[in-house]
Amino acid sequence: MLRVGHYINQFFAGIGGEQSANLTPQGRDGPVGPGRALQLLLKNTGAVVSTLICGDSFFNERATEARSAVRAWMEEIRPDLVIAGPAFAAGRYGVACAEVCRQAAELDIAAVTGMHPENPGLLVYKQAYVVPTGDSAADLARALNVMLPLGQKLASRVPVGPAAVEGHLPRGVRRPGARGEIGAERAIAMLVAKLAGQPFQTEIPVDKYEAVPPAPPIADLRHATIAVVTTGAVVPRGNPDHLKRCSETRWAQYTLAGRDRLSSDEFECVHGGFFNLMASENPNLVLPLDVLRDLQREGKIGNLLDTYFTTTGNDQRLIDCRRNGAEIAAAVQLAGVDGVLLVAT
Amino acid sequence: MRLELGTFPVTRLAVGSPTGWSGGQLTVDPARLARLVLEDSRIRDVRVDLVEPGEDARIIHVRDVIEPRVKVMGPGHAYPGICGHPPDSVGEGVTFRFSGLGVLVASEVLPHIRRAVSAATDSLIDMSGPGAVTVYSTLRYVALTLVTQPDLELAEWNDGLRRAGHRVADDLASSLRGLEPPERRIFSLAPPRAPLPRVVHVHTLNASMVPDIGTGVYGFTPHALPMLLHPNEILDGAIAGDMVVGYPGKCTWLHVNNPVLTALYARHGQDIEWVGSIIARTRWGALREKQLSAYQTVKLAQMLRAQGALVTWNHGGNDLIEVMLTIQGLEKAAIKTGFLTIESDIKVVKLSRELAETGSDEPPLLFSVPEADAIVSTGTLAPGEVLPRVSRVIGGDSLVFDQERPDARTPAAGVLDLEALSGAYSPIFGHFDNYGLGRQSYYDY
Amino acid sequence: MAVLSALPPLAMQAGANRVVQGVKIEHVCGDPSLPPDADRALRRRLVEQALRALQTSVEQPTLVQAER
Repeated sequence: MLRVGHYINQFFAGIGGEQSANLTPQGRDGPVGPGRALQLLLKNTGAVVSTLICGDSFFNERATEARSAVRAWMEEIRPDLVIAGPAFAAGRYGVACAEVCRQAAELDIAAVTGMHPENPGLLVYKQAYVVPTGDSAADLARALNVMLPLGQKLASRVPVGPAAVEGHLPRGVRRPGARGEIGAERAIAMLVAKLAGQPFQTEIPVDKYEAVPPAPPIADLRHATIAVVTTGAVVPRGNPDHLKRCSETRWAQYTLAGRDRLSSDEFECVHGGFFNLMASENPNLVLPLDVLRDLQREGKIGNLLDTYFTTTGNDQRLIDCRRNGAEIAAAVQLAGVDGVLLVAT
Repeated sequence: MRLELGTFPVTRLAVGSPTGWSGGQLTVDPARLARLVLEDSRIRDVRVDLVEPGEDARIIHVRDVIEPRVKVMGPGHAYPGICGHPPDSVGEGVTFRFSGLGVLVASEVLPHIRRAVSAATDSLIDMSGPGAVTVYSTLRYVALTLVTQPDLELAEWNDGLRRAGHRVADDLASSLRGLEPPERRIFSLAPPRAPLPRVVHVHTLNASMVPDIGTGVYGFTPHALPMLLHPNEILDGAIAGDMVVGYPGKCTWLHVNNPVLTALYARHGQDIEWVGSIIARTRWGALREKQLSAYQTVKLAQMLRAQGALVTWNHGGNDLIEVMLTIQGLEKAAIKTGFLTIESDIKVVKLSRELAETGSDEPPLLFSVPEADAIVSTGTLAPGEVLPRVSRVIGGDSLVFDQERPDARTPAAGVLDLEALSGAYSPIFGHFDNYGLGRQSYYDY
Repeated sequence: MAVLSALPPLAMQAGANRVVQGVKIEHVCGDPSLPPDADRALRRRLVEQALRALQTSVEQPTLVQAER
């Protein structure tokens, strides 16, 4: 018997619309609202044992509390599968559903949601299993008919097929597999179909990186400490730490103390992704120490950190880039830096 | 422009004299070829080996593979503009070629060249077993293992190796003169009887950021603004690779055997009218240059009255910026695009079983534009297992897997765990299927 | 943080919020084909632009233009 937990918002719970969007998270036994359709689909293979209802505004404005409530609900009722929404085009609801899926994943509970492909919830948790839906509840029955079987497969831990087959949107996870015709022929066939106005399915969905909230501006540069970072692999001559020209996983830090500019006697550029001769002959072209010292001397910036940070931005894995960025950020924060100049080659 | 290609399939290689093709067998005189190679004093030593697919053999230090072709009628020389061949425009008349055969140049990268050009990597081709994943494992080779003078500068090293390879290829191909090809095919872009959608092939080509090396068009290697080629020029060898850079999309054999050309020709007159191939160089250093190249490519496509464009590329990294800007420009000019591509280099680096089972979350493309909505992916050719020991190695003894540590050498005949050894590029020659020779791809899960 | 890059579309697509257009991949902060003084002056202008970016309020990936 499949134990299903269903997450819905205040509107689908029949409590109210926007005026009830601050509803605090509350659990109910059994199915509520669209959960009833879900129960009908389950028949006697399972039961919607509990429904968690939360106001969309609450979830978005008191996110920490909302996430805790979701987690507590899952830990209490221990579902085999969580269904969130579907949220259709409702943006805050989509965001909440994505978060619910993330919480479920952290507890190793299978979870599926559904929303319109333009719903901002898709940028919140890329690995969620999201079934694309229309923009209104008119699509509810069809959506649940795709969401539930996918959820049942995930819950029973059987291998699931490609996203296009299982009916969910790409999750940023790709695996090798063979297709029917050779690549060259598929490419022309796809173009011919596109020219004829016939449907076609791209093999690589256009990727969206997560948005990064901007830091507030520096109020007074004259009292600010600036650090410089470069992915241009500027290193002491001889490359003492053997920074690789390509596919490097680490970052390194070196001193700028006592130097007015970077000279080619002391420094070189070991980046293998571009013609690095000019940067080795004048490393200031990638790490502009000479003018930063001028600006420091003139009082235009308060201070320049004596340490600079570098890696080789050439064929690096995203996981290494993320970790290096986090570690360098931690290092500059520890050093009391107010702003960073990142020179990317 | 009408080109007739006469093809002589090679199904067996044999040692003997004189050089000649008969009934699928190519007889090769190694001593003669060695003499030809040694005409250039920049080559100190040569070894000629014949290698067949399916053999328990590994070829290493592969620098390029050349398909021997000869113009028997019509203007110009096959592989024009390089190795002393005149730059006269090609693509007309009659050209004879071997199929299933390559002249392979193997030569160990000189230490100072390895230091100067990080892309001058070591490579291997396994002729059987789990490592035989590319088209290069299916060809027959006249393999030339060349030892050059040790102090050659980059341009000289490249030129010495390339001329040697083409002297041999030219010699083998010229033995076909006067023979009757078992297969003949006409290539021409005759206008269709009824109007069909006009499609332009946007054949973007990496240009090296290091001067004097890299892929060339009629031997012209530097970055240049887009130009128009008739596909027959490509079939006659107008695009040729070098002996230096290691990435798969530069291989001379691949350019004359580009399956996109075959596929476009197959559809020409049926579904599409193919209006030509725009060659746009990539890997410009400045955004303004990338934009200029993209905008001029779009303008050329518009002047050809193209309604559709099939876009391909042959390298990685920042080349993709101008490729995507080109796709964006074409779509904005109401020219519908299709894009044929490998996926991000990084996935191939892993070479692991993990990839097959749990998948990779590396972004498939380093950069994209929303207009790129019709993409075909050629996935990865990474083997799923370690490469076994082999009984025969051609091209040298040992391999460098880490360009930063050229003294750390791995014996080539032994078991090779590429995942453990190779922190950088896959050393398998041709490990990217740039032009879609195979059916391998990736799926979203 | 302000990013100095020869390829702002790439930096902005990756989520960098303050981006300044550099010269070329091989020499983001200058131009070695110029006489040394001119190269240094160019480098100064670019760094000043980046520092100005640090003082600018932004909501999303923004290409901070050179001052006229």
